Amino acid sequence: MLAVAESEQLPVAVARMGQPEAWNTLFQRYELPLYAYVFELVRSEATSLDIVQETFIAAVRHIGGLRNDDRFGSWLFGIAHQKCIQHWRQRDRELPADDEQLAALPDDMDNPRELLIREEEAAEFMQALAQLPAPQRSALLLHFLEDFPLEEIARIAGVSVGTVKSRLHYGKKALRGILMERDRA
Amino acid sequence: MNTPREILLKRHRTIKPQLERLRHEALREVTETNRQSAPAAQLTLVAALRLRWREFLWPCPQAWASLAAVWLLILTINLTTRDPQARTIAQAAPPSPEVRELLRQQERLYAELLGATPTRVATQTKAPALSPRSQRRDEIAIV
Repeated sequence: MLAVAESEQLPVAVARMGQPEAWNTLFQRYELPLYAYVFELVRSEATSLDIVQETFIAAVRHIGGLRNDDRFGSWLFGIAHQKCIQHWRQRDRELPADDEQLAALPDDMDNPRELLIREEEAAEFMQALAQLPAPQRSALLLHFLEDFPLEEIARIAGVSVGTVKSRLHYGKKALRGILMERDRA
Repeated sequence: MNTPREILLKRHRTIKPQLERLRHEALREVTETNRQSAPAAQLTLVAALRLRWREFLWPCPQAWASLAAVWLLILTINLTTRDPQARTIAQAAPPSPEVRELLRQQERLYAELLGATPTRVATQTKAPALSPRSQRRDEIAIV
């Protein structure tokens, strides 16, 4: 399965040579999904904007460290993820660990575009997402926003593929549970 | 009906103007980084060369590595199984002191026969006349 970012032809090689137009294209492509990801984790507009800006600047300075141009998207989200963790640490809040069970789990990597939500359910979906523990939310956001494969999500979050599987499985289960409860109520 | 991605992006659409401003600031960083980096043109050339090299090698690094390994193997086999006779000749190349003495004696004998100090030119001109080949040539001429 190809991630959203991988199916595109992005001018990463040109950006590497310092071309501002190429960087502009890359920033334009990622600014909104990146902001959405960061905001849904830190829940502050000002902090999210700061983190996105810091991520872009870090990307410009450290593009030399990127080994595979096809992984630019996940690399960028990885920087943002680290900045979110730093922010949480500064506020003396560790990223809360969810109750992870690494038993044999089904692959929850179905196409995120297959999960369709009605317009009137959008607010409920967002609220349900916000109720999830941060690690599960992070995995689901990366899956929903960029359709990253398990390995990429694992690399971004700095955890094993099994942990990502678990987070996606329980995250989706919890999301469905919350939405169904609301439907009943 | 919307996908989760669409819902998430729609939810944050209002932030776009701020993101645009932020993008321009980040682009200033790109220009600044370019200015700070060592001779820009040279750097670009080096980067372009590196990029071309990467593009050339990247599609099949395993194939290139295998090819290099095969060449190394061929070289090793070639070195280990080289003709032992040739090696013996090469090792026996420096003449022994006896042989050297014998040569010196021969030289002296030549000098005495010619009645003059032997020069290189003289030896070179006279030598063919004494060699067996020239004799053979004479025989042929007589026949």
